[in-house]
Amino acid sequence: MRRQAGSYLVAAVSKLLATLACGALFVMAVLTFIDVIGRYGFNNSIFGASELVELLMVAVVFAGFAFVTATDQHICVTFFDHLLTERAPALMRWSRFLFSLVVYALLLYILWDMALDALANARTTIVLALPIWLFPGIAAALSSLGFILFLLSYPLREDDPHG
Amino acid sequence: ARETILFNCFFPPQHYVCKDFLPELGERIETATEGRVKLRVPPKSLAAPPDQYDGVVNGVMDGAVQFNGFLRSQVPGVQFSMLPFLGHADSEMTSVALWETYQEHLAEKDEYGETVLLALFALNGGDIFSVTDTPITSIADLAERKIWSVPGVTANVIAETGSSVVSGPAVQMLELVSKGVVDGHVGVPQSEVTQYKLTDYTKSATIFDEKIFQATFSFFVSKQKWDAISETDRDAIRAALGSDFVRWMGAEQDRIFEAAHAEMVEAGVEFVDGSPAFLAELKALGEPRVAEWVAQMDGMGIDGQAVIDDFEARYQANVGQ
Amino acid sequence: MAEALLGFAAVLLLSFIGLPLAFVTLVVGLVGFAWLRGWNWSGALAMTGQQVMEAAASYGLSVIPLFILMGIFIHRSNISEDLFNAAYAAVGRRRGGLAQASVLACAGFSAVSGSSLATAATMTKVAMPHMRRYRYDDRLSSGVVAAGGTLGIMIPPSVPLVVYGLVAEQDIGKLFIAGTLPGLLLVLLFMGAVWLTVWRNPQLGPAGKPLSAAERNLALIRVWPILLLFIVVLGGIYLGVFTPTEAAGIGATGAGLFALWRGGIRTFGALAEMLLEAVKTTAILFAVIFGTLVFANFINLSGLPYDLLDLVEMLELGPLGLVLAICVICVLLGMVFETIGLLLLIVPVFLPTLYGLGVDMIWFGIVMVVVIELGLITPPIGMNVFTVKSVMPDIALSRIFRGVLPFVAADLVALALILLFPVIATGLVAFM
Ligand code: NA
Ligand code: NA
Repeated sequence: MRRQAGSYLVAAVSKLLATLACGALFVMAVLTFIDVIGRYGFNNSIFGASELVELLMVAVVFAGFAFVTATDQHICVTFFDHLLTERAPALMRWSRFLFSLVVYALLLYILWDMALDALANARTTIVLALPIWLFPGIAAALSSLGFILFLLSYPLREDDPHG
Repeated sequence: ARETILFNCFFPPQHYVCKDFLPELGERIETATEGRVKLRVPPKSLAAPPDQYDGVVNGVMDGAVQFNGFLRSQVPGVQFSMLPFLGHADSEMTSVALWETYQEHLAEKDEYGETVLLALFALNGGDIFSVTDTPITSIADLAERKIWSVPGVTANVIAETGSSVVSGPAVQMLELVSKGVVDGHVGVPQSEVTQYKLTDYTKSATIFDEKIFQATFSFFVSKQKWDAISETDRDAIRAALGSDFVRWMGAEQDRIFEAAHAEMVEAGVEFVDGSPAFLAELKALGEPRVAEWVAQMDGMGIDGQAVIDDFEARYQANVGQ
Repeated sequence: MAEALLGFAAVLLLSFIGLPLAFVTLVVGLVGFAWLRGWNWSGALAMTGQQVMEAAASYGLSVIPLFILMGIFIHRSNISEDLFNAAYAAVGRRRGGLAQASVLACAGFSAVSGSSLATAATMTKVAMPHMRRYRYDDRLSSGVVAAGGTLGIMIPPSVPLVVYGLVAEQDIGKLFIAGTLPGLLLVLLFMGAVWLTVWRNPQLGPAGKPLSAAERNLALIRVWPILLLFIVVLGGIYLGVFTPTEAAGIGATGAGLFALWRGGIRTFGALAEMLLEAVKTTAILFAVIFGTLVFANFINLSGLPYDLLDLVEMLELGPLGLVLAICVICVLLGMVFETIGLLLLIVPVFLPTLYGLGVDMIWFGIVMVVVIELGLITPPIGMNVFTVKSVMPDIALSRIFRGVLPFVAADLVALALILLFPVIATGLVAFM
């Protein structure tokens, strides 16, 4: 029962993250396309297009990362890795999970700290005067969702992470 | 106590600020403190250009040099040096005037917060460059072109002429100008034009005595590091740097500028004197920005106009010497 | 120096026991940075945050998701099959012709995809069934697609060249142009390797059936959009009509429209699926980039780059000796790190030395890509070989590794030629 509720939440949050990341990438492609067409066709470029691209990149990268951590599987890259996983699959699985969890938490702390710091000193980007806190803020919010997803979904996975 | 200041250089490692200016700064500090305080510059920048101040405050490094445009919110006072048409052709006299003016009027405001200001530095003032065969000699010329502009106030002024403005980091300018995406560029000094190898693409320069933009930089170290240095050594460093190091950097910069100017003349770049009418119109567009800054200073209890006037007076006095 | 070596040792150890490399480098970099700053955690955390956000919110790096998306759109427009057919039409009836055609088709796909794994995966799916039908030896057929896939990162667009441009502060447009001739050189050498293989043992790769003139023309006509897209994207960069980021945006949107027209995108869901694939690849790549940037900053702070400069000057290696030494180090580290991580680690470490000796950084970037290509098809981590294996599970890994041997030799010849004649890489750039 609990497991089902967990799966449901994981699915919903994953879908939200995927939608955000895909939407941002789509807008990025169309934006740069229109910007160039505008510049040559109508002698008019989109003001601050590069700053918009930067903001969209944050959404693509962090929503994508949050999505991947919940769904993607670890790729085995070394021989030792292989050996250890065969000898002690549960140990390897859980040590990998705990290690990733700690690093993820650390990353979250760093991003939130940056966002709050930027919020406090009210700086803006040079061209569009977008508030600087938006960048780490979006990254922190998306990563928080990813963290929750990671926490819920990893123990749910019953298959061997090596697939 | 012995201390090593980890001083970051955001420029590429082979840039003269990393290769000459910072080693000179280190030598002066080391000599003044009889070897007790040393400067260390990492092989490659530890933080992106906009992150220098935050990096020093948070302890990524102990000291850094930063473009003052990135300090708009933390250090509003120093921004007068980059207001439209307050700039000058030379670096030495301007840098010294800037340092003295800042010490006189603004230093006590403790704007640099968790850091201590060691030096200020101005590049040579920037000009208006045409990439097409026709020089830019009027507002109308600007209005019909695509222009790359240094970011900030200058970009706003150029945009108000009706020109289609592309603005961003100077690295981007290299890409846009060299590939003919824009028809002109505004605000960088001739030394940067050659530095970025844009000489061949630049056909003419429109020169005013009063510069539309002059980039200025701050050199600072964290209070934490500063306090770790003994009082004797701090005094020795202050005495050794002062306006003297600022003057040294400016003189170096002027030599680089002269060479760059000669290179541009050699390459056949046409130098056009801008007409007083063109200047007056541009200045009118820039005037609100100056007023904005003066009003901002009012809020801080500083007579902004007096700062501007003093800056100009000191500059003229320096030139007169 | 000692601190840096300790850091490298820690990364090797932790990744050997199977912890994710991206996280390992990030943690070792962060802890190492704090250590070198006298256990200043605030500084290390701030540095990590700055590096992460700087890379994520980067206008320059936006070419990565855009070029990845372009490759996915192209893949979904069912043009890979056309590419193979067109290549088959050109060279198929010769001995080993299907393998030759696979090389050409890989080159064609590389012209619109920035990834060698995507190229290898796509072309394995397309070319392997054909080669099986003609009873090609598995060694030759799997070897040729694994090696052909590496063209994806030399022929522009190329994700590793973008990353190299980021760390070496080089113009991405110039790097792309520089990759063109070496890419063509590799195509010729790979085709030569196929020719030699079947010349020695004709049974490995029999000739295909000739196509009728009509079939041939149809196949050639159907690949024009790839050519057009490549010309627009690369020509635009070459002539300076737009920046690499804009070129990527145009390439992605153009490929999307093309996929729509070809019936590759029939539903909104299909589009979303393609976008998601690009997002996932991008995210994994950026995780690696984050970790390595943090680790690289620790190495930077350790002063290792300066120590290396002193060492190289003392040994009087000279530019070519230095670059050769770096190649050897890359091959060794390539046993642990995959491509992007390797680039991000090696380049910053040697940057001051390379500048100091006046090495042409565009040329060096191309040399690095050839070395990476070698790493992709040699054990123990031959990512391209793994990719082919994952598409064709019935072929033993060792057989594929043996099959790529002639192409490893071809790569080595290319490396030697580019080292001896830098003009292969820098020639076209001079005309930009
Ligand atoms: Na490619
Ligand atoms: Na390998």
